[in-house]
Amino acid sequence: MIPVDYYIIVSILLFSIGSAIVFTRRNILYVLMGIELIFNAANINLVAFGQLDPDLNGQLFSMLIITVAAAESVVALAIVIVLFKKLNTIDLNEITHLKEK
Amino acid sequence: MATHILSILIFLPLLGVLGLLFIQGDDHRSYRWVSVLVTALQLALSIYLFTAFKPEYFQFHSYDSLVYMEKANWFQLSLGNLGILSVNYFLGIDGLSLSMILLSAIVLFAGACASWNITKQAKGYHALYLLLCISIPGCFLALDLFLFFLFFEFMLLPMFFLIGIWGGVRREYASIKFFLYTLLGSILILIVFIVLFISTYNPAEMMEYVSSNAGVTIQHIQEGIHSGELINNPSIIHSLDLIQLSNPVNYFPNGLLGEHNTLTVFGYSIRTWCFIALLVGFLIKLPAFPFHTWLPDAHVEAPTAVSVVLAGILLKIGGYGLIRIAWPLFPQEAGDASWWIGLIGVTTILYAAFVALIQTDLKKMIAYSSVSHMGFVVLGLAAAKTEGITGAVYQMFSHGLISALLFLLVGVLYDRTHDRMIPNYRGLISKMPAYSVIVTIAFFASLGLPGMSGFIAEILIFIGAFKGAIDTAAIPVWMPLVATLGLLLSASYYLWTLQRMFFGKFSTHMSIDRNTLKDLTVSEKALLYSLSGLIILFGLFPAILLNKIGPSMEAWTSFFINMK
Amino acid sequence: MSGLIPHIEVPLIPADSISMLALTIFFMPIITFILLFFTGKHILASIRSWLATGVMGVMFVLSVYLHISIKGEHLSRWIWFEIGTIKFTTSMLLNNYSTTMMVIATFVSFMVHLYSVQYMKERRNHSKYFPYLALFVSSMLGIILSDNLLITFIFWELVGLASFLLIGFWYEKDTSAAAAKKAFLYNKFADLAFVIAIMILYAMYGTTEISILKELVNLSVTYQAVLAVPIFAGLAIWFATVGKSAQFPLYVWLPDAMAGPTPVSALLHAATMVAAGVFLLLKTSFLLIDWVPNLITIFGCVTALLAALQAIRTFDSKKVLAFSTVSQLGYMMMAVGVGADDAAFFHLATHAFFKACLFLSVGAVIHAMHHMQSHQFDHGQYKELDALDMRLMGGFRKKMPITFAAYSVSYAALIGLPFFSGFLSKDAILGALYDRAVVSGSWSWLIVAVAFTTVGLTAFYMTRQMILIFFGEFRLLKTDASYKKYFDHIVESEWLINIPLILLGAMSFWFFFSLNPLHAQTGWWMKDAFVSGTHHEFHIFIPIVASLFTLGAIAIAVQKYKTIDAFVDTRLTLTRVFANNYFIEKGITFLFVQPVFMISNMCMATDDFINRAIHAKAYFFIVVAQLADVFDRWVIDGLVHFVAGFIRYIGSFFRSYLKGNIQGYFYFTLIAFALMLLWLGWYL
Repeated sequence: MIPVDYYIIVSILLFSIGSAIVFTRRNILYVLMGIELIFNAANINLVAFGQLDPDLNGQLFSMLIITVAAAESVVALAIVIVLFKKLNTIDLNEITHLKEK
Repeated sequence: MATHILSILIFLPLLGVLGLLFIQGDDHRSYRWVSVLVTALQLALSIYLFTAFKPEYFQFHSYDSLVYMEKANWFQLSLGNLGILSVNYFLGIDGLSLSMILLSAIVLFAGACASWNITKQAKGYHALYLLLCISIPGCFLALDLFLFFLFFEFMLLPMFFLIGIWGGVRREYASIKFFLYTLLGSILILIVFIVLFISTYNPAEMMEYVSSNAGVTIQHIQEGIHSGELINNPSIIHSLDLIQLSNPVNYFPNGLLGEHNTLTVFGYSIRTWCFIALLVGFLIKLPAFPFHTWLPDAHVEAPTAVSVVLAGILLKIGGYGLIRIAWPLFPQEAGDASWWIGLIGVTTILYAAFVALIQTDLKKMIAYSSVSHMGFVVLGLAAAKTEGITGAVYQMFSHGLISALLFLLVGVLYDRTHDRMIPNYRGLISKMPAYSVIVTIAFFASLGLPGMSGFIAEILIFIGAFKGAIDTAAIPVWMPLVATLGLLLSASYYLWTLQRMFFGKFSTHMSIDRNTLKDLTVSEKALLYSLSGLIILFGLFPAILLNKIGPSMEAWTSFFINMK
Repeated sequence: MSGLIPHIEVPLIPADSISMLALTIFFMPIITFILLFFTGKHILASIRSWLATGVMGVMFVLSVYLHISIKGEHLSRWIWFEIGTIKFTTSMLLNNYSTTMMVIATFVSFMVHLYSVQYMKERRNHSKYFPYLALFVSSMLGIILSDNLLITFIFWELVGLASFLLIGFWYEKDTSAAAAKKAFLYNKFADLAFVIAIMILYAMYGTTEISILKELVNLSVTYQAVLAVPIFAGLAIWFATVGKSAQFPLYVWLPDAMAGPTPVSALLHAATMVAAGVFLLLKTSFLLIDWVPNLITIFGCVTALLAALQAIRTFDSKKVLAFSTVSQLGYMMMAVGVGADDAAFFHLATHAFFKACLFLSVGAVIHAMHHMQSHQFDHGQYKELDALDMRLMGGFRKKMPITFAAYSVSYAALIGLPFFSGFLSKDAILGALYDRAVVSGSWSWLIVAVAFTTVGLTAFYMTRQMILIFFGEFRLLKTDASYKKYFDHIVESEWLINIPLILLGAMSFWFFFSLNPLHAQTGWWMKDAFVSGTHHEFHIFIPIVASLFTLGAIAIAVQKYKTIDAFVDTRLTLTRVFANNYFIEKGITFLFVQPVFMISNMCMATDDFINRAIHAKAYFFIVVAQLADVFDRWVIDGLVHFVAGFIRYIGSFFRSYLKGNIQGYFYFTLIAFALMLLWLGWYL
């Protein structure tokens, strides 16, 4: 059996890559991909620790997260489409509408 | 399917509302089809229920008397020492609700057809209309007072917006007035329901919880309550099941409504106050003098289809509530108050007829005539004879059809000229012959011409009231005698209107564009002719309805007399 | 209260073949009505009128057959509807009495239909005329056949509806519309009494079946139990007939009802509407006990006299006949009051024929007058002409001999000359009145005296009408000579109009009713125990005295109007009283209509008051709400605003570091997360 540490290392790597993408890319689609990576990092953790649980609750939970993530990305992409329609750009530097004027 | 037919009937329009969401664009043509289709389905279901109903004699408000009964526990709430609040989803149909369901299906269908030309925010209109189609049958079918109240209140919401958004010039005023008036009634009713809830228990449901203890029967529980052993027990179940409430054993002997209660407020017992509150609450809805002033305003401002529904069914819920709830739950009090109730009935009949006589707005005149005709219901109830009470139900049924027809007819004229004033027209018959024929039919139906449904109702109420006056002296003899004047008055205002508006040489007020005065279109004809056909059908063959509901009405009377 | 009277079961009886025939006759006009009402406009006018007329002819033939073949009573009864165990039945009674009435009604209707075919042809032939006639006839048949008061009431009201539609047939004329409304409302007012009668009888006896009620009432009379019930019920039924059979004081609608087409007037006055009241009273005569019959006699007497007096004053040719009808109905009511049912029914029958004939022949004259008017109109010189005014008529005897013959025969019958039907029936009534006076004395003699006087008055006004219409010169020419050429063109009416006149006129002779022309005791009508089975004394002096009165009145009338060929003024004293219907209408307006409107206005004011009260309540709430609002805004809101403002200040400080860029938020989140981790580490 592979020790849990390896999994954690992979997940930390994945998380870092994801975070880096999220923080640095200006294209909103990349940012979404980064978020997906972060998700998967979390999933790996869950699966890894889940194998210690005889009820396999962790594995089960990761399945749920995958489903929810799929749904979420659908919503996120829909928002992206609407944004593009409205602002004609997906460059995050130009999308500053969150700030109250 | 057959076991849930009532639920299907009630919630069918919800599907329609969902369907409305999926229709794209602002095209009102597709929305109106949804309303018409859904109400047509409801009508078909009601006709099926009606034909399948077997008239048999059962005790009133017994589980046996209900067909297609649906009962499921909705939720239970522990209230600590107060016991458990149990609310049931409880539907059922007996002769009384049968007639009302048939009526509401017919009128709602007619109303949906009359909404055909709504173009302003059609989606919202039809969605609200369909919500109305849920709550009205729900109100007639619910046998749990909680559920009843839910549907009863829920009716206000669509009604408020339908009048307030699609109404006439003073629509805001009318809708607010309507809302506040009815809300006042609802509050009174709610108070009574709360009192009922805390002073009764439901032994049948308590049985279900103690069934493991062998040998415990309903009688044991009832004896336990009455001997005081089980009082203040957290496991006592309170519910608003109408069938259980109708049994006087199920009241706590020392509770607010119990037999040993001696608490009086201003010299009257709590029971009397509760009856008065219920009476006033439902009389506002009916409406009866002096709680009627919301009705003319609401009617005048409401769009045609809403007027149709308002006069056709909503008023009947007041009468239905009296027959279904107020009288059976407080028989003693109703019997004692019969003199006053008869007086309210007679006053309403004459008063509204007098006011209708001098109206110059056609719609307002018809609105007042509605009030006058609802007075007959109260009179029939006051006497509490089988003939009178059947007449009252028949009056509600027939007035539903007749007033629907009348308001549709006013709508036809208003659609064309946007003017409803009687003095502004003369000799319409030569310009709009088909329209005038149906107006004549409707007017004569409403004034109680034999051969039309209104006559059967009124004559039954009269003989019932007089029989009550002679046999039991429930009301004095002069009341039915004086009430007959209502027939003369209604003949007067209708014929006078007929003479002023339709006879004579054709002329109109100069503000009216004569070119808009076109006779009925084919679709209008179809709707109006079929409604008048129904009125004549139920006038010539009252057996269609009365043979079905007769045993239930007889059961009602004997129940009432036994309880009293 | 009703415990003394034994309960009587109401058995159901299926209809036998004779009853089925009667039902068929009853349904024929209904089917005609439905058929013509809905297809009216789409078929030819002539087909429409001949169809209705043909149906009526068949009905007449069937009624005669029914009358001949019927023996004894045929009662059939079936359930109309039931409320649980309470059964509302409907029933049909066929006996000599009802079938005779059927024959009369269908015969007169048939004649009127025939007449209408021609008469209505030249008027705006409205497609609804014949269906309305059919409705009228079917409702009348309903009243005749039904043995249940509730069902009778239905047809009773439908007769009112049909009369409303037919009187208001020319709805464009304001007088027509007003007269129709008036007729319906007067009848409706009287009908309230009918409703009350039904209420009383149903509440006390539990049924409205006439034959059952008869037994029950007889039982109550035997047991002397609660006589108030039949008394009040009888009174109520009588009052209902006061409206329909046009008795004092409600008779004022009948003269106005002349606004309808003339054939309708004939039908209304002869066999359908006004006859219905007397017929119903005869049917329910078992209810008339104690003092009620005397009341009926007195009111009948007053009606007979007042209407006859008014007829003397009237110039409208149809109104004279209308008042005469009212007067004759008064006779019938008197007969009912003294218990002479046979005589009343006899007079009803004879009157039906000769009054229809009178109306139709006068209608023929009016028809001719209208012709002149329309010719005038064709020549572009339209002048308003009152075609009904007798003052403008005259000299029609030579122009329209057949009409004149029919008129004079029925005239003779109405005033009661020997060898005519009216003589027989009127003498039967006078005899009954005399018999009654012999028994009860006192005021009854006054009734007899008035009855004889009215015989004289009848002769007077009818002679007057005859002279004014048919003798002398054509007086319209005196006012406007331009009518001369049209008057020369007047000829006898078409055969379709003449045939009904001849047939109805023939029915005015004695031999249809009794072979002995001088008294009816030996005739089949009075002899066979036809209705009530009571025996009648015959007094030879009554017809002699009556004839003397008649002849005297004719002599006076001839004397007075012989020389009249100018525009006549036949004013008597008390003119204003007569012309104003004895102020009955004014009285009704003053006593009922004005108070009703006053009460209406008061009720409206009450409504306003209620509304004001509600508004006041609403304003009160609004004021309270305003105060609460002020408190809310300055005190409670002030506090909230202070707290919120403070927090907002802190927030805006941190916010200034954000640029709205989403990744900026990420940084902040990350920093916050790191800080949290640090704090967690420090804490652990």
